[in-house]
Amino acid sequence: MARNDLLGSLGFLVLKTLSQAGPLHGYGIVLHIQRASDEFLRVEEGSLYPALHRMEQSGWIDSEWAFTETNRKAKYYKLTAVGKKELQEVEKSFEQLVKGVRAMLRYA
Amino acid sequence: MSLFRRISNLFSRSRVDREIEAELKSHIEMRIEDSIGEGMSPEEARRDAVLRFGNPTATKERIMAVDAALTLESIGMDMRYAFRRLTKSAGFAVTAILTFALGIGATTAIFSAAYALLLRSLPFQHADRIIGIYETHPQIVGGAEVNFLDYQDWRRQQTSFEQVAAYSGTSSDTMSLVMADHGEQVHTVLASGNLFSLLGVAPFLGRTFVAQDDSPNANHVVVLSAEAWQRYFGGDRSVLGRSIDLNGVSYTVIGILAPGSAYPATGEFWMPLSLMDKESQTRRVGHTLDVLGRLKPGVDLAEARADMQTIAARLAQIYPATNRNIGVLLTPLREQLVGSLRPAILTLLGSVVLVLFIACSNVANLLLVRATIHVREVTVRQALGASRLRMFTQYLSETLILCVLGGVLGTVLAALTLPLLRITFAHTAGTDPSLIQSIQLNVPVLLVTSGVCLFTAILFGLLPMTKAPSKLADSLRPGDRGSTGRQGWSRSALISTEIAIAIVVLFLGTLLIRSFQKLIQVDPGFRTDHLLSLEIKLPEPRFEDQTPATNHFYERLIEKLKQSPGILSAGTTITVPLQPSHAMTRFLIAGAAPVAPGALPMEQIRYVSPDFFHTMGLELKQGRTFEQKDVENSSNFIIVNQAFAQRYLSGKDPLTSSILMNVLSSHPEKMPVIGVVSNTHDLGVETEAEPELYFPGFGVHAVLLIRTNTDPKSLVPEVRSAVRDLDPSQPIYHIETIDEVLSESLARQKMIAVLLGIFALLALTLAAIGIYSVIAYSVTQRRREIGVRIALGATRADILLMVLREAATFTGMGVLAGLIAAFAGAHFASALLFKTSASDPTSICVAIVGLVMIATMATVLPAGRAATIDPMDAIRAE
Repeated sequence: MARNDLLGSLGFLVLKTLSQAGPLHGYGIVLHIQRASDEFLRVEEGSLYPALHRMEQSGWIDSEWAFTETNRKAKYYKLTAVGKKELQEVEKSFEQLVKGVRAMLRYA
Repeated sequence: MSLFRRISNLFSRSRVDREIEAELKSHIEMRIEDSIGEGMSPEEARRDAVLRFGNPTATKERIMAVDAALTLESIGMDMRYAFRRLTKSAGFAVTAILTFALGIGATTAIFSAAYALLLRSLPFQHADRIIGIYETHPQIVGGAEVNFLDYQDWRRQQTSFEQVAAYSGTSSDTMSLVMADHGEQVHTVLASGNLFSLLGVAPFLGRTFVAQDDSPNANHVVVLSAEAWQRYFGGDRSVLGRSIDLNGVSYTVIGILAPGSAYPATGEFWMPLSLMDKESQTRRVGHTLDVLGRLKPGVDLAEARADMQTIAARLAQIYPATNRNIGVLLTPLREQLVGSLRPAILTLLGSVVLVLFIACSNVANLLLVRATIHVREVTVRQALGASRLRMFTQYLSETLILCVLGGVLGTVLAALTLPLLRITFAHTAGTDPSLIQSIQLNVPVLLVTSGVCLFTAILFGLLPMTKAPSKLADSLRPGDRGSTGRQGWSRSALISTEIAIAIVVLFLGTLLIRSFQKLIQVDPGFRTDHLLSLEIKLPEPRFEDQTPATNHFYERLIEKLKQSPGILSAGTTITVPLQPSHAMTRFLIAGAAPVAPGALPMEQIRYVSPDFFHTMGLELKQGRTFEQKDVENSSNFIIVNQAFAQRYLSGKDPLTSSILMNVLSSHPEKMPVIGVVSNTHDLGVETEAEPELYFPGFGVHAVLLIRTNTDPKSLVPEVRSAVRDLDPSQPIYHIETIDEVLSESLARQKMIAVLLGIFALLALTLAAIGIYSVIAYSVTQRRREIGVRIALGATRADILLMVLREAATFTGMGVLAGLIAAFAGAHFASALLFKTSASDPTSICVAIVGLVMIATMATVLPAGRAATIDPMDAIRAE
């Protein structure tokens, strides 16, 4: 699907979260990113949902309504096969980017 | 999934809307719960949650915008890509688009015409319950006009109709409208008081007739059609209530009809039926009325028919002398207006469906070929990770572009064809002008034909998807260009069907053209060229039939005309040649065994001037023609035609025979036959010459025939001035040459022949495209094989033969199937054929030869290419 809208860092974080923590609702994703990044990264909550919607439409994630532990109805997202492949690719290119940036920093 | 979901999301916004709202709400509430758990007060927690989240409505809008953006983006991309691919194979694209355009354009135009003429509802209220009621007589084909007293009895005794109305007025009923400075001959109709209310026609100004207008001493009132109001009075509203002069009698204008609602459509001035001559209103002979009835709701045609037949049987018992053989015939109004066109329209529709089928199977074939070429591409791309859905939307957009361009071009084609169809149908005698005007581009029809094409295209356009082998290796194996076995078979079957249908259409077209050729070769019995016809109606009561004043007027006119150098002779009759006379009479051959009154023979009569036979160029076979003294003495002499002599006077000497006329009166007149003349095809050239009786004399109304030695139309001013010299206010009308009458009478057959000829060419062209594409593709596919064969010693001729054999197989099968279908189907068209058998061997030959020639031409080009393949190139290419 439309690759030119390269997955931004938010999308990357969401995919990674879902691959690490399994199916989660939007709020859960926000909490997970916050916790896993040692409170370094804070997700702008209003931007999360358009991104989720876009990823769902691109077939990377799938959604389903289910009940939370507190018995509240919420939409749970999980990674699809396409999403997993996408994540691998993005991870790879991210690593390359990081390597490249490090090399630049060292060179300086 | 995503494209469809995105698009469907765009259309079902409220559902998506609710879902997003619920999701955002649950997010905010979970945050609030957690914050309360961490010790915040509820209000504080809510404030914090909303603050962190931002404006939920804006967020919702951003989510929905994602759908629209993604949709547009991917549609745009698919379209750009599809265009690029199509321009790369421009030959394929252009062929497919043109095929679609021809299919959609031709079918839409013809379907639109058929819809307007056959299926559209008439512009009257409850039009489908309006029934024409006629009298029948054993000697008359179809229905005949109705006697006034019979009409009155029907009206009183029937129980099936809400209303029964009558009118009298064919296109030849006219009166002189006397204006301030000149006269006009106008079409008049006598109508019963309820005619307009039966039709549900409301006046545009004033009123139409009411029941009082049916009373014997009704006022002289007149209703005008909107068209006549414009033509003769320039749309002046003050004409309402004014008196106008028709045939020297003054009538008060009481109403003007709305445009397009005139019935009968040729009518201009309507007067109450009660003003009809008193004699017709009191005798059971003479049949001049057209009767309409509107069925009561819930009563069907069969019940009404039974009801009317009971009444007719009762009248036959009470009045055996006049009504013994008179039955009734009920025909729905629509049938009556378009019934005679039905076989023509059904044949055209049939051909159109067949041509549409050929067009669709052609496109299907093209797409099948393309599918096979794309199998490899599809497999490779799938292996490289393209989703099936992605490819699906791509092939879909390619197909859609072809369909849309084909559809647009087809619509333009249809729009250009419709005016031509209107003109051709307008020249068809007996078709209502208001129906012709209603032939418009029919949008539902356009949608149906485009839908059929779209369906075909989508069905076959998506084939590459299903044909792709699941394993990449299968399709990439060198030399194996996909398995062509089953697909090759389905392509051959498709092309054979196409050829079979082309044979049927070609056969039909040839049949109709040959039938038309036979029709124009018919000798009408007289020379139609250099013959001018025009009508005159002298004002009554100043003139009356067969009176000295009338005779004198016409004799002086003919004398005047003969002095013109361009005019060879002139004569009068009562009906334009090649058109049936409405005047018929019962008679009995003197000396023949008496027959029951109802079984008396009945034939057409014509009052003619002495010069009529010479002017027409009829041959005198026996005896003599009329002389001036026969007219002046109102002699009781009769001239008959050969058909009459054969049917009624065989074995006798016509010149010693006499005929009894006025047989139903108490004093039959015995009239001797003084001559026999050659036949004319006065019921139209497609029917056999009918028996006719000629009487000497001039009527108030006359058809003046003028034989010229120059262009007949150039003499019109001269004729006009000759009439004006005799009477300045006397109009002449219906001026036409007999050649025009002839070609008008053949217009319908010509139109059908031409249209079917076009369809035949269309079918041939499409079949040629189909055959070419199949063979060309097959040659491309077998390039390597052919290379190997040549390398192993096959000659060019061998290769050529091999390709031709392939084409011969499916062409032969198609021709065979086509022949069977053509023989089976042609009898449906036999109603349209004139002296041509529905299994005419010449037409069959033409169809076969035409198709085989086209097939050969379509094959030779690619076969030649195959024969010149360089084996080294072909084998290396892999």
